[in-house]
Amino acid sequence: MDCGKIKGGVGYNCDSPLQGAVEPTVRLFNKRQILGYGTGSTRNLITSLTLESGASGYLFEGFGRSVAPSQEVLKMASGQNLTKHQVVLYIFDRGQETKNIIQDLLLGSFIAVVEGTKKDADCFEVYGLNSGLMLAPGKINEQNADNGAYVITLSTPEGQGESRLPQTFYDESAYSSTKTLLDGYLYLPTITVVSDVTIGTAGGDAETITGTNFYGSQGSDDVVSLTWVKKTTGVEVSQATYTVTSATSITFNSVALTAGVWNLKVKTSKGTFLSPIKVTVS
Amino acid sequence: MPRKVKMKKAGQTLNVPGMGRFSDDNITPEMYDKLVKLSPNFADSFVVEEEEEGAKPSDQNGEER
Repeated sequence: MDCGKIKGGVGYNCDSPLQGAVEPTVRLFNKRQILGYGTGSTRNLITSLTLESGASGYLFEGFGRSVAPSQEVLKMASGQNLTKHQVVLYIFDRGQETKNIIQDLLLGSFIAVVEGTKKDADCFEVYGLNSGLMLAPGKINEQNADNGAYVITLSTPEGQGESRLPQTFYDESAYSSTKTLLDGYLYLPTITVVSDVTIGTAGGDAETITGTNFYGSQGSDDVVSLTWVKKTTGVEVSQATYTVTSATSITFNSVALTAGVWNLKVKTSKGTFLSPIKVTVS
Repeated sequence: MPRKVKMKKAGQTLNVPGMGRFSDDNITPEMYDKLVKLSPNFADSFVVEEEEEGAKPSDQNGEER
């Protein structure tokens, strides 16, 4: 056996010193929906994930230092040294939909992908790949602290250990393509084109919006709502009637809107996207 | 028509807990079919080429192996 032997040393890179800190976002996956993963030319480097058909990951967004990953060494009863992976994340929402998601977190096992602030080959790390992460016991909410945000601690389950440190996720090409690959697992909606950006207040103008993931990770309409958002006031008006013609196209006749500049917001079961494309109503 | 299955990225290994590790060294059309049946998303890891009956390996891309 060749276990326990180090096979190289580590230098100090003056030109590109280590940069700590992580982005306040986590991509969470249901562990049982990850069927496989690709590994690359560097030992233990993860290059891709394979999800169950129709499954997706989910993006949890926070603020500032609201995501705190950590790892520690565990001495197991067998004498093996294993590792404990842990990701603490703050959830700044108290809506019932969010509470339902947190309740689901109580029961499941998850894999988290954390993104470092330095956008390089080492910036994405996968936590819980083998044993999964489960909600750790303890207080998750205190109304008088952090404005009532939920504090969720996902960690390697008690009595278990990960055989590896959190592994780097990198497509062996570039940060940008690695991020695109990871974002592809989330099936988040986007709007890239609005066919008519000058419409009338009375409504009835035919529109086609082009984008991505209007089917989510399924094979059919996943759009929950389509909404107009007025740029100056943030007022929202529902575009109540629309047809999702494909995963990349939605058609509708505009509703009546007051004069001004509006943006379109699309919501699917995977997330919400507010289009930066300005539509002038006059 | 016979098929040849390769990893999409040379040197990559696909790890499927419970089924094993697959690379250019051991992936077969039959195992590919089994994986894709499990999830069509597995197809993203591979390239499938159809081989003409009786074609020599060197006929595939014009290079000697």
